[in-house]
Amino acid sequence: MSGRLKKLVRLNSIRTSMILSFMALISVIVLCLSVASYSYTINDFESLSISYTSQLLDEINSSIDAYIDNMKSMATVVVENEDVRWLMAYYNRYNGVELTALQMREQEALKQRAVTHMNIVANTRGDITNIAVISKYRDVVLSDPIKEVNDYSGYNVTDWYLRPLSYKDDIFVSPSHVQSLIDGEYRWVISISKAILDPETGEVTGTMVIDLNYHVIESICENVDLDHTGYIYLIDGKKNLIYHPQQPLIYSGIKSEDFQAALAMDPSQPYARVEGGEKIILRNTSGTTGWSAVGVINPHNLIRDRSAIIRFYVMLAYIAIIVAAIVAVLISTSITNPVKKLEKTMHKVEQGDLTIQADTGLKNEIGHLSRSFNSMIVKLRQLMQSIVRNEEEKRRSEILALQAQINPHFLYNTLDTIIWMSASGKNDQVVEVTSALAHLFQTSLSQSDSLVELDVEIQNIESYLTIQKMRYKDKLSFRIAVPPQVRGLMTPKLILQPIVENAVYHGVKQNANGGSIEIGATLEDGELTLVVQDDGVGMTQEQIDHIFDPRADDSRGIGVRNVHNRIKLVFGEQYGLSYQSAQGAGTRAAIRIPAVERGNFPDAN
Amino acid sequence: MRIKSKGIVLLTAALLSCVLVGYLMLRDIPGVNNPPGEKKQYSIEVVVKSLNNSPVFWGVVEQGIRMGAEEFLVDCNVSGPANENDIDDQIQLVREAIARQPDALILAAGHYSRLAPLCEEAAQAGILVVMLDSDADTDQKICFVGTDNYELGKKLASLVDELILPGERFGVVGHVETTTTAIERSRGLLENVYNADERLADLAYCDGIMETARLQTIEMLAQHPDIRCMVGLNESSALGIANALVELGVAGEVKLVACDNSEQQIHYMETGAIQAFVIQNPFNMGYLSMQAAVNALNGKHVDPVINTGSIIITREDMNRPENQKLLFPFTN
Repeated sequence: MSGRLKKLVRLNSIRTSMILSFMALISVIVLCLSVASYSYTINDFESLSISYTSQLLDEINSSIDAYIDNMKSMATVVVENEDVRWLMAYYNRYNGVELTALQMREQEALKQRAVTHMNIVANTRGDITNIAVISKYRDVVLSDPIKEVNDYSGYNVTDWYLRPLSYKDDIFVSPSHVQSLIDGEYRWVISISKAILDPETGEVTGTMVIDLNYHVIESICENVDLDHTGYIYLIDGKKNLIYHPQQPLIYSGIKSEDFQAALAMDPSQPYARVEGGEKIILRNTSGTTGWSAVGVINPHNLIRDRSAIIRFYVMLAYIAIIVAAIVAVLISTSITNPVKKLEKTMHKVEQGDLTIQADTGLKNEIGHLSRSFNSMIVKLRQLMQSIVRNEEEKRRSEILALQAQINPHFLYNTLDTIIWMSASGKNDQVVEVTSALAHLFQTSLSQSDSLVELDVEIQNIESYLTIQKMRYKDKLSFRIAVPPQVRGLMTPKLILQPIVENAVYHGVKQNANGGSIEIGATLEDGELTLVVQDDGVGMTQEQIDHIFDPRADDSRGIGVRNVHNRIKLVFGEQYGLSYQSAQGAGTRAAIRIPAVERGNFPDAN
Repeated sequence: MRIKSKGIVLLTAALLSCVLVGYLMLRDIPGVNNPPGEKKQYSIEVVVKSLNNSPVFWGVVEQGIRMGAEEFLVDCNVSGPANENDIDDQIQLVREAIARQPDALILAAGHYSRLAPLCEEAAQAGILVVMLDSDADTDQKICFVGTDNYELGKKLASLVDELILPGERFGVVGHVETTTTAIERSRGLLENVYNADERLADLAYCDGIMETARLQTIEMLAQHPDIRCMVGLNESSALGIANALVELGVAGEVKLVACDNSEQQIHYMETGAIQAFVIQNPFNMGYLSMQAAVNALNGKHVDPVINTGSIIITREDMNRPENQKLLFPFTN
């Protein structure tokens, strides 16, 4: 697992750098896009909120206008009622005059009918708290016959009462105020008042007032949902508050609202920023009522939405980065996998397997690369084969050449000995030497096998030593002590002869008293050791050390080195020839070769 | 070719799963596509001195409390005894309120010393205590929100001195002797009115019951016919006095200085039975106590005393728009 992980995040791999750079690129792009779209969204949010609010204000105003228009027509219904008009006319005409009983009854009947009418109108709607008609001389008639007039009310100085008396055609809409007209009731209301006219003269006889509670206006304003980002309030042109969601808090002075800023707003501008940009206000003033619906947006309260947007973009970025990572992994895998495969193949080739072929199955650059690699392998294989063939040939010819080397001096000396012996009439000895020489040559020159039985080699060396003994007489003695069980083992041809020759010429011959040569053989752990021991002059350590060095001037070296190299060529580096010697104590040469039975050695002949 | 198509399938699957995961995660982000829930932040128990009874005062306090609770997203429960002098009832209600384990308790103590142990009990239970209108004898509270009643008493004193001559005497009817509002107001009145020792004819407590106040006034005036001015230390006592004065036919003749502004009192002012009153700001009291409790719960600094103030209203200026806003609670 951790190995896989390590493999996955190996820093210097193409794959990792691809994934990382891909992700970095995507991250940067997503980040830039997110920041850009975030700021765009926030601006959009604000302008959306502004346009939404201004739409709401429009709706509110038209709803309120419709409502007030409706109420104004209600007011008209009341003031144009004949009973109401006549009642007011009565009050006016007979003000300060003692009424007759008939007039009293007539006035009472009129009042009854007027109250009934007003009561019906008032009861058509739940938001009408009271309808009252008040004559110029302050005779008050309420729509609710049960309720009593508050005699101490200060209505006579209010706008809603006084203004219709002077402006007989207008319908007045009051700001929020406390209506104290009814005994024991002090309600915050909005009053709609209109002049009552004399049915005959058309003169103003009094004021009719309809008091409205806030239910309808409130429900109009409460229905709008600014979702914690702001609110809407209503004011009239004189900064009197009509509706505010926190009206009690404003009335009690805990909170305040900058009405001045709202009313001072430039109507050509769609909105204004107040309190140093902390708030955005919008105003929509109704032509009917003169009231302004003011929308207050608190951009800071968009923060909740803001953080949601930020989270949205973070999430988006996160998803994009994950997608990028997956895409990067897939792409990089599709690129690096063939490369890895190729690398594996190359590694095998490196270890010597030239039979392998890289197969990516791709048609891209990596495909080209692997095809080139394949043809390279093929060429390399051909080259290797030809090298092996050449090497073999070379070795073969070398062996043959080495086998062919018989010291011409030996031949010359032997012939000289034969001549000398035949001149002395020693015919028997001539026969003996000549037959030994013939035997020697028979084995030497036979091309049949490069490996021969040890027995053949021993016979060969026996012939050689017989010839030499003829030359050196008593100066040379030899003994061959090779056990019969090893004589069947195979050995390269002519490996003993150069060693023995060396022992004769450089060991025994140099010794004034002559010497003896002993040839032995031991078999141990599957290795055959042939030993040639002489008791001649011996060699210095330096001579031993350099015995295999190729030196042209040293006649003794050639044969020995020849044997050493041939053994190595045939059996391998671990086999060969070794010397032990000390000055004056003779020399011991040992040939180490593997014990090979006939037919068991797969040498390429 | 096979590898390629496998890769495309894998890629598509990965993209789809990412989109799905993203959708699932975004679906729950508030404000993106679901409306914000009106989650209540705290639960606060409010125990006032009287509920469902004549003083409109507590109704307006409750309005302020409700307004604050709505604004600060508080789940609040308002309780109180039927009468201001039902101290045992109030103690029981406070016990019940504590048992509901609210985050905070807003308490108007009906009794200065008897409610104190309960405040300590609440504080020990980890409930923040905010005293409203009437304090209790404890330091286990966050703050006191209410009128500076000594100052209110001082205003009453100035009105008495304005309405009658320095040699004329006055009588006082208070509500509950043991409650701080009565204690402080009478102290403020008597310490500041001119020559209180000689001019104070009598001082009675009606236990918050209007009828008692009426009877006490009648008796007081019978015993001290030289009384030229009466002072009612709260709404019920003032109304009792006003009723007595009207009954005796001396309304306007014997002046009346009152506290608080029920509609009845306003009517008496219109008729001339009450010459002036000092009004408190019960709405602000309720609202600000809720605000203080929430601020304390949020770990913000809260002043130990929040004075909601008092204002003198006389018959002459009662119709001014700014006074109307204070006199008449804005009930829709």
